Parts: sequence; C-alpha cells; structure tokens
Amino acid sequence: MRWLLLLALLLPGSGWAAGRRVLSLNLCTDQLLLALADPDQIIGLTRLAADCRLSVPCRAAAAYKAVRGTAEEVIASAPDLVLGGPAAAGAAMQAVRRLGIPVLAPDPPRSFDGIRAQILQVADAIGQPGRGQALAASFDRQLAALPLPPDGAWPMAAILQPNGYTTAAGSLADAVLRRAGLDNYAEREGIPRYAVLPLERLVLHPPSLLVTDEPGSDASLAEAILWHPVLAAAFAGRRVAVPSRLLLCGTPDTLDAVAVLARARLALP
Amino acid sequence: MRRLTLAALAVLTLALFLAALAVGQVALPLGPALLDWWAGRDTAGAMILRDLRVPRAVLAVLVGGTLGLSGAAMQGLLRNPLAEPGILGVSGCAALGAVLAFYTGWSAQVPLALPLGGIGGALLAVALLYGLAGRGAGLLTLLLAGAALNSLAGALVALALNLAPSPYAAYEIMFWLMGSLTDRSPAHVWLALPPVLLGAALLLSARPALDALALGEDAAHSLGFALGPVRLRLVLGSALAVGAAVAVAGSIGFIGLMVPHLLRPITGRLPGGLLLPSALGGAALLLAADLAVRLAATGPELKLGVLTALLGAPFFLWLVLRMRTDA
Repeated sequence: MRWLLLLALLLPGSGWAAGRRVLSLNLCTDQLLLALADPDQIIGLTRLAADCRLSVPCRAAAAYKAVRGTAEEVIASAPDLVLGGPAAAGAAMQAVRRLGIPVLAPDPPRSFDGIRAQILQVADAIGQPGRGQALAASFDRQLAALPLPPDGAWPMAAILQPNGYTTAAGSLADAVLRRAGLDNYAEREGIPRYAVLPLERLVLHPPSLLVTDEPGSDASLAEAILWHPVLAAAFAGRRVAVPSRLLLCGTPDTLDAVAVLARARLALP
Repeated sequence: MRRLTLAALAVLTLALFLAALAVGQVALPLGPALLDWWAGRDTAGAMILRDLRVPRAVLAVLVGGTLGLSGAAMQGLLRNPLAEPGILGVSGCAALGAVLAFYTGWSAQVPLALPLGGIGGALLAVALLYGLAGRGAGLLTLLLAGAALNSLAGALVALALNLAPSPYAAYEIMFWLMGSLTDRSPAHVWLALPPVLLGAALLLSARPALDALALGEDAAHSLGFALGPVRLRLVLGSALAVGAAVAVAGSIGFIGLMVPHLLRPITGRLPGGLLLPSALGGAALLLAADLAVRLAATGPELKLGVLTALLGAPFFLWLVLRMRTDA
C-alpha cells in the first residue's frame, strides 16, 4: 500500500486532486479559477485578467503571473491542468494536448444554467468540488433574488460592442437582456448571432434602449465607434452603460449586468 | 482645354459627392432628409446625413484631393514621375505620428494632437526625402529611401499598436496601413480641414515656381525664383495636408501616383498646371473608390486602401515597365 502512495507522489501531474496546479489561458476561466482555487494552485493567468475593464477580479489577478500562452511557456510551467476557451491560444492548446497534459476548454456559457454548470465543472476539474457547490448555491440565491421581468410587451434593447458588433439570440448577453425584461433588437432585425450592426440602421430603426460599454480610458478605434456623435444624438437619455467585464464571461458577476439593465428599463421614458 | 478639364473634373466630383450622400448602409430618401436637416429637425434621416454621410463624403474629397495634389506637387518638386506620398513613405510616417498621438491618449486630452502627430510624421519624412533628393539623388535612391521609410514606419506602427494599452489596438493596423472612411464623424472633418486647406494653399501658391523648376534649378533661379522659400513651401504644404489627411483616414495609397499620370496627357507637361486638376481628380477617384467599397461589401466593409492598391499597384508596375522601355 505504501509503495502505491509513493508512486502517486513521484509521478508528475498526478499528485493530490486538491493540490492540482492550474494554468489558465482564457479570460473567463481566469475569473472562475480565482473564485474557486487556492492561491498556491494558480500557476498563471492571462494578461487580460488584470485589466479592470475586462475582468471583475482584476486586483486579485494582478498578484499572479501573467502568461502569454505560448506552447513553450505552458509546457515549461508543468501544469497539472490547463484551462482554456474554445479559441484560446490554439497552437499552445494543441501542443499541450499532444503531451498528454489534461486540458479543460469549456464552451462559453450561453445561459444562467450554463454558468451554474460551468462553475461546477471547473471546480471539479481543479479539485475543489466543495467550493463549486457553495459558489453555485450563492449564484442561485442571487439569481432568484432578482425581480422577475413584467408580463406583456418588453422594450427593445440593442447591444453595441466595440467595432460595432452586436449579439443576437443564443448568446449569454441575450439571456441577460431577457432576464432584465428587454427584447433583443438584433433578433428582431434578423441579424445573425454575432455580426456588425451598421450605425445607419441603428439610427433609422432605433431600439428603445442602447446598451454599450462604459467610456474607457484606453484609446482604440474599436471603442471610439461607441461614442460616435450620431449615437449621442439618436439615443440621448436612452442609453445605458454595462461594463463589458460583466458581459464578456459567464460568471456570478454577470448577474450585476441584469440588475443594471433592469434599472435602465424602469428609467426609460 | 485646361478650363474645360477643370470644369469636367469639378462636375464629376460633384456628381460622385451626391452619389456618396445617396448610398449607404440603409436606403434613405435624400430629399426629405436634406429638408429635415435644413429645418433643424433631428429626424433619423437628418442625423444619418449630418453625422455619417456628409462627413464621410467631405473627408473623401479632402483626403483624395490632398493625395492627388501632393502627388502632383512632389512629382514636380523632386522631378521624379514616381514620387507620391504613399510610395515614398510620407503617408506611412504620418500614420506613425497619428498612431502615437491616438493610442497614448494624447488626442483625447489635447484637441489637435491627432492631426499634429500626423503632420509631424509627414514633415519628418518629406524633410528626409528632400534632404536626399536635394543632394542630386537619382530616381533609384529616392525610391529605395521611400521603400525603407515605408517599411520602418509600418514596423513602428505595428510595434506601437502591440504596445498600446487597449486590447483592441493590435487589430487596428489595417486601418492605419490601408485607410478607411467608415463611421468617421464631423469631428474628424473639423480636425483635418484647417491643415489640409492651409497645406493645399501653400502647394497651389508654388505653381509658377514649380513650372520654372521643371526647366531645371538653374533656369528657375535665373527666372527670379528664390528656390529656398519655394522648397520650404512645398515641403510644409505637403506635410500639412498629407499629415492631417492620414491622421483621420489612415494611409490610403496610390491616389497621388495614378491621378497626376492620368491627367498629365490632358493638362500638358507643366507641373504647375497639373496641381488643381490633380486635386479634383484625387477627390473624384477617392469618392468613387469609397462608393465601390460600400456597394461591394456584403459583410464587413473592405478597407479603402485595399481597393486603391488593387488599382494603383499594377499601374505603378506599368509605369516602371514603360520607363524601362523608354530609357
């Protein structure tokens, strides 16, 4: 019996489930990892995790090593588990898989049930099932505490993202809109899942509410489009800022976006 | 003949300008929208016209006119038929200056930082090139210097975008190296307008001197032109106009090469007489290219510079081949 224990300790990558050392290559798994893991379990996170515009636990993330996601870096850090997204650091993920390092690359959740399932999935994978159950239970409580949307016709809201993209049915943002009692403009306009919403169209057939990120401090053309004067003229008093860190990833913080949108719906003229 | 050419080009530019107002992402009855705008009513049509289509069309005229005009002026100044802001790296350096002003956040704090950055980059490039050409550099030296400037500016633009704090910045290299007029705003027009007009006025004021310069520097000098001030006017004028144009629209290539060459058989050989027609021709060509970009797009719009390079690069090759057979 004793030699079995010894073998388990010597074999790289096996170790005790609770002590699994994890590397994350995706902004969304970064945030779940921070919520669920012991600090000494985390080998590294993406650079984006410490950016407060994109990530909610940005201050906590700053304490960890920021990885670039090259295959060499991942292999050299000898993780027991690599977390990623479907598109994260493609080449590195392939190399990691070839070497037989366990990989968990969950699809981004598209619903509140999906968020709940992903919390449990990541918690199990990193050996923290108890914390997963607790976080899922608190998520359920927060979700249930949000007021239910009213019956009858809902006002229409358009989500405008950097570069003019919008998200239609089937996305997490769409689920957030509905939970806040808003109809998705993109779906009414017949815009496929993730596509550019031309400004002219938005002005000619305006929704009741325009949802954008809050004004940022870092300049980019992609975000400048959200502050185009034509939108200021067409949506004066009918736009709301939902920080993109609340909508980019499916985490318990996504519920804050529901709350912001529900308040904006009530404030509509 | 010259008057007729100018009139025809003006009519063509006006027609394309009106077409640019009529074509967009949505069908918009132009008449009612214009009336609403005139009456100060904030209807959707008026807003689309005022904040999207008019700025876009005006910028096409400003940027295209600048590129055509400064292409003709640089060909005259450097006495080199292949001179052009894009090929010689002036636009590339202007883009670098604008990128530095924009992504460091200067342009958000200092209103004129964006055009000033572009003008600074362009000025550096023109001064460098003129320093070279002024020492009697041949066609080849000038073109190679331009190629080197272009590569360097492109690499530094990429570096600056990679180091920029915004996660979106790295993906915006296409805009700065290829150019676009999509979703520009009235603010961009107001930023570009004063330096472009000032630069154009400086370039146009050098018309007689450019004609004299075509006969050679000694001849120009003997005709009573002080060459120093003339050169300074041409260098400053093209840097002001190109720098400001690139700062708001990215570096759009080949307009300054194609337009003067297309018009030279009509206007005659004198470089001074080519300036105004080239400005109008550049405006018309960029308006047409921007229309084509909008009409051809089914998904995301093509970058403008893609289209002008598709037209201009074969034209450039043809010019080089023709010069070889002539030589």
